[in-house]
Amino acid sequence: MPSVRLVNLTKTYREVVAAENINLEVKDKEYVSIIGPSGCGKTTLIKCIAGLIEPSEGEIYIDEKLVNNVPIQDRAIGYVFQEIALFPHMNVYDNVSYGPTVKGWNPARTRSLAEEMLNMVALRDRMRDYPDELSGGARQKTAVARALSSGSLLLLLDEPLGALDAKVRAVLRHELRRMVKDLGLTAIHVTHDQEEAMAISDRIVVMKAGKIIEVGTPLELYLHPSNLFTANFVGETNFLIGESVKSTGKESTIKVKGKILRSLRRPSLEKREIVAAIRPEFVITERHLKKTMWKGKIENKVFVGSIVRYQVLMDTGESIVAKYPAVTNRRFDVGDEVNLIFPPQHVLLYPYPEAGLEKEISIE
Amino acid sequence: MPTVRLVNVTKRFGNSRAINNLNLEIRDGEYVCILGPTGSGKTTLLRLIAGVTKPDEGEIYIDSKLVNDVPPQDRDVAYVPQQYALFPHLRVIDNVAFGPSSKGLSRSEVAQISMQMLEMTRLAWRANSFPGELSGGMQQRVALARGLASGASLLLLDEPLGALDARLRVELRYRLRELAQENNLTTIHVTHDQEEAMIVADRIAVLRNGQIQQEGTPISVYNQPKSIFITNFVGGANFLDGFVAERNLEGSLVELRGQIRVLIKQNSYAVGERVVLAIREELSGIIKDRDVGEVNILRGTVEAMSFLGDFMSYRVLLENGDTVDCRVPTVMNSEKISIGEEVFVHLKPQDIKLYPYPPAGLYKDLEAA
Repeated sequence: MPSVRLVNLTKTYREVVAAENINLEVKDKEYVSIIGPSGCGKTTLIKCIAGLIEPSEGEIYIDEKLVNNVPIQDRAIGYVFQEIALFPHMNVYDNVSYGPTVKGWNPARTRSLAEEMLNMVALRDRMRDYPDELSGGARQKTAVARALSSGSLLLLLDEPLGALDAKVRAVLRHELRRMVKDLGLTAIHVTHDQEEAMAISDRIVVMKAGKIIEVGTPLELYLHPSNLFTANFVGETNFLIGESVKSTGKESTIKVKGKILRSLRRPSLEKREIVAAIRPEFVITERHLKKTMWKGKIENKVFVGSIVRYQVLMDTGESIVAKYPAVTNRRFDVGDEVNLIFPPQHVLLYPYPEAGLEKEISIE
Repeated sequence: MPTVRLVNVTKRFGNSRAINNLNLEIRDGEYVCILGPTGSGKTTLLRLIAGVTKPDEGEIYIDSKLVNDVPPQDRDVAYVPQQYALFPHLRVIDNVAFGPSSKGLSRSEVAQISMQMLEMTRLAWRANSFPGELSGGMQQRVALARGLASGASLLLLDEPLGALDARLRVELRYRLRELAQENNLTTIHVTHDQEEAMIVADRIAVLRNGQIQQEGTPISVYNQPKSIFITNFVGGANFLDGFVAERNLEGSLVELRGQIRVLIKQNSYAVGERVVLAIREELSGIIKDRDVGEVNILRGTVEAMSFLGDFMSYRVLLENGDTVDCRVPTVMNSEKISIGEEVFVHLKPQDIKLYPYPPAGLYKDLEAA
C-alpha cells in the first residue's frame, strides 16, 4: 500500500532553492504527474522521493514510514530515468530479470515475473534481443518492465518518454497508464509535457520556481485553473486585461478597452484590475456581422489535423485565438470579418498580477 | 530567389542507404517540413542540402545551380543543426555577429544586423549575457538569430524546437513561421513532430527509410494519406483488421473479427481480400443509445478515458475484442460517459478508408512510426 507524503520539504544548493517548503500527498494506487518549466524543481522533488537526493529540510514518508534515512535500495521503488541505462551486454530478458536475480529470488518465481512483465510491455518475442537491436520505444518499454519486475509497488518516472518521437510518446503513455492501473501501482511521473500529464494522470502537480502552485485533476486544471500561470501552462489560453465594473450574485461585468465582457465568475474584491482568461475552443466566432460588442478580422488560419486554429485581430487591438474541431462546418478564411462571442460560463477572472501578466505566466 | 531541387539523390553509410534515390523540389519562399521518425534520414537530407556531407549519387540544385561540389560556406544557406554549439565565451550579441562580421561588413553594420536579429527572436534584452546564463529555449533562439544574421535566404533547421519544453515549443513554432515570412526566406525544417509540421509548413514531405512517401499541404496529407504508415504517423487513427465480404457499386461490406460487418463507401478491393480499415479518432463517434437509423453502430464498453484539453478521449473495447479510440471535442462533450459503461461506436461509411493488409503485418507498419 504505497502512499507518499512530503512534509515541508526543502532542498537548497548553496544559495539556490530548488524546492521550497513542499507539501504533497500521493494516495495509494494514484497516478500523479509533476509538471512545470525547466528548472522548476520537479526533478529535484522526484529524486528526493527516490532517495537520490537528500532534502535539506522536511520529511518524506512512504507508506507512512519516515524514509529520510532509508537508502534508495531499501525504499522499495521502481525508478525509470529519461536516459535509460539498460545493460548493453545483456539481452532484454536478462535486463528485466536483473533485479529479482541479484536479490536471490528463486529462479522459477523470477522467470514467471520477468515473463509477465515482458508480456505486459508486449516485448516477449523480443526477449533474446540486445538493447542496440531495439527501437527507442522498445528500449524504453524494457526499462519500464525492468522497473516493474523489481516487484515494488511505487513507480517513479522521470521524463520516461522524453527521448522518444512524438508519435511513440503518445502511444506509450497509454500503455504506461494501463500497466500501472492493471498492476495496482502508485506512480509519480515527472514530465515537461502538459498534454502527456493530462492524458496519463489522476492528478497533476504544477510547479514553478521551486514551489507547488496548484494540484488538481486534469479536468480541474484545464477548465478551472486557480491561477494565471497554470491557465497558460496547461493548454493555450487567451488573456484580456480589463477593469472590474460590477459584480452581482450571478454575473460579473468587466470592461476591456471600453467594451463589456461578462463572466459567471466573481473577481477578487481587493483589485479592480482584472485578467480575463478564455480557452480558444470556447471562443465563438460568427460570420453574420451583428452589432455585437466584439469584432475582428481573421488574420491567420492553421489546420492542425483534428482542429482548425484561427487567429483573430480584434478592432480593440488584441489578438484572440479561436479553435474549432475540423469536423464542424464552421469555416472561415483569412480576411473574413467576424464577431466574437465569449460565453460567460467560460470566462475566468484573475486579479492582475503584481509583477505584470507577462512575468507571471513566463515559462522561461 | 532560392529554390532547392534534389534529383535521384542517394547517400550511403556502409551498406545502408540513409537517403535512397530521393527526389524533392522546394519552391522559392516556401516553408517545407521534412517529417519522419527517428532514423528515417531527415538529418542526412538536411546535411546534404547544407553541403556538410556529399551525396554518393544524384544532383542537388540550389537556385537551379548544381551545388554538389560547392562547399557549405559558398551555398548561401543558414544551417542551424540540432547541436547548435554557441561560443560559450562570447556574449549573445557577439555570437550572432559572428556570421556578418566574417563577411567584411563595417562594424556598425554588423552591430545593427545582429541587434535586429535579436529583436526579431525577442532576445535583444539578453544581448550582453553569455550563453551559459540563458535557458535552453533562449539558447536555441540565439542559434536561430545567428543563422538569420548570416543574411542567407535559405534557412535549414534541424529540429529547431527539439530541445525545448513542450509548452515553449508550442509558443515558438508560431514565431518561427512569422520569422521566415518577415525575412522572405525559403525554409526547410526537419522534425518528428507532426503537429509542429502541420502548423509551420506550407508543405510537408513525409520521409521513411530515406525516401519521400508523400508530400503535399498539411491538409492534403492529413485528409488523403497514401498509406497506413502515413495515416498513423500524421494524426493517428483506429486501425481494424478485416476482409471484404461483399462489394457492389455503392461500396463494400468488410467483416471484422467476431463476424461484425461494417459498411464502407470505398469499393476498390475484391471480395475475400484482407484489408485494414482506418478511421480518424475524431471521426469515430461515441453514443450512449443506439440510433436505429444509422449504420455501423458497434456495441462496446468504455475501457479508459483521458482528458486532453481540446478533446476528451475514450477507449472503447468492442464486443469482438477490437479497441476503438474516440475523440470528442470538449465543447461538444455533453453526454456523461464513465469507465465500464456500455456504449456504441459510430463509424460513418464515408469516413472509413481501406488499405491492403501489409505483407509484414499491421503491427510492423505501425511500429515503424
